[in-house]
Amino acid sequence: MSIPYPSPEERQKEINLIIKKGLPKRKTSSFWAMACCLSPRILFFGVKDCIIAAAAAAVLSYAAVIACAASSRNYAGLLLFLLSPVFYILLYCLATGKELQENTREIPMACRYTLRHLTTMRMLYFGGFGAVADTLLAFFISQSSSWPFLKMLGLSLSSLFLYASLAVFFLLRVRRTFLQLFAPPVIWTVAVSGLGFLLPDFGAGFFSAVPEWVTLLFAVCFCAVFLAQLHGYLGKNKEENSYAVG
Amino acid sequence: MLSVNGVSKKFGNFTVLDNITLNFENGVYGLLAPNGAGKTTLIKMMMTLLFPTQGSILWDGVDIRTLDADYRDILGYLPQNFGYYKSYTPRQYLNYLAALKAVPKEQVKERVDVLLAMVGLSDVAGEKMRKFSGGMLQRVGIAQAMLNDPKLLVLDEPTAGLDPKERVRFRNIIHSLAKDRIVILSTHIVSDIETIANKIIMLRNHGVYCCSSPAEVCSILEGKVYEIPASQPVNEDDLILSERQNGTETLLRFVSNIPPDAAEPVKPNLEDVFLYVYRDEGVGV
Repeated sequence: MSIPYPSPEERQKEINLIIKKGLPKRKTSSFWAMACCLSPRILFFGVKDCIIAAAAAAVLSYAAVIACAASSRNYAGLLLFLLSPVFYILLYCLATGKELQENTREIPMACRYTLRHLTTMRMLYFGGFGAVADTLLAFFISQSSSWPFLKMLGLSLSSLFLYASLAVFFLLRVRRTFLQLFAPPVIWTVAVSGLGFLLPDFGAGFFSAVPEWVTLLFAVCFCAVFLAQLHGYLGKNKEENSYAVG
Repeated sequence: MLSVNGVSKKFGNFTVLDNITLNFENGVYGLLAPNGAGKTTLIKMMMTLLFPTQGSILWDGVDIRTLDADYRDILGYLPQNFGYYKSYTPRQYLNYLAALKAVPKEQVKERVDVLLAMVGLSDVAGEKMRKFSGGMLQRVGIAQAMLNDPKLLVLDEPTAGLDPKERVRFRNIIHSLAKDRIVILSTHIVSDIETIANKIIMLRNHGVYCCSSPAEVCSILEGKVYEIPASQPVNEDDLILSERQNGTETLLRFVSNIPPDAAEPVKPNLEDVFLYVYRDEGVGV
């Protein structure tokens, strides 16, 4: 009886496959491979108009914040904390909303780099863009209201990364895309309205009293939480989605 | 190569698919069923967009969830009603998806050029897609699905909304792609697959009704399909499938166990079987 042995090439191919499957994947190298593939040109393909619209709206709202902070100095910290995530919120909601409306999310879900990878990278970029915008905002408010720049920066980035963590939390824990998209801004808006309109003096007093180093510490902590959540989101196994047609 | 093993899918208490078992090897498979039968759900599970409530899907014996990105590397997928970017050109769109499919950068331009030529869009490669007809957009869809030279190509209702000329063109493209890969073509339009599918899969009552060659599927009605002038009566129990003009008279095509004397037996085709199998599901004349 002749046994059909594999050819040396086939044998080597199978050995390579076993080794590849047996060895743990190096997450850092696969992350960098993904980051190289998903350049900003790819990440924001089809949503450049959303970025421009988000930037324009953010500039207007930040200008209003700076003007308000200049006229009522006590409320500068409160205003900055409440409105710092505006750019991030607009970027994420407009870009995702457009893709949902135009039904362009299905094909990427079956590619090597799926919607999950795209979303993770976008969140990182949005966080980066938001941080730059908030640094500028903190600078201008500190100039117009004579609050210390580092304190403004700490408040601004704490607020940004707290919101960003909330947004990733919803991506991780909630299945419905509609809720993932709209629940975080609604929750933030309700919280903002509650603090800003119902307890303005408490809020203003709290942000005036909190030490500079505490705001910076919170910014670092919330940034770490955001990155850890994003890491979890990227590594999460895909689960059952809620839709099906036909 | 691709095995669907006892797969069921439920949404809440509603069972869409129940205990589906299928094996796919290289060739063209026509997934034929009326709208709402679960074709898209089955396809979405093969594409890792949905996961089975029960059962598993294996590629070369390995669960596709384990293979993860390695499995997606061999997929080509054209969804039903795929979204496109109106303000972008097909070349820009293909470059974008080539990046998501991790096609090596140095190969992208050549690959995009080859695919645009294959689907007959080289002349309009630089024009915005908002000007494109439905047929042209579907050809862009085929090109994107082929970017990574997939081993498994799945096309969900690719000819819906296309005119007859575009449908023929589309069938020819599919036929040319069918070598050395699995092509699964989901449709409720029988003529799309009658000539190009090696095997026909029909879904019924949430399960697989049959998975056979077109000839074997047609043999279900062997000796039971007849034609008769429309002026002649048919039995009450006979199922009328279609009608056609023959010179000046109209002929009725029907399924019967005991045909009237004036009826002529004819060779059953896939459309007859489709209309017969799904007669209780609002399909037919």
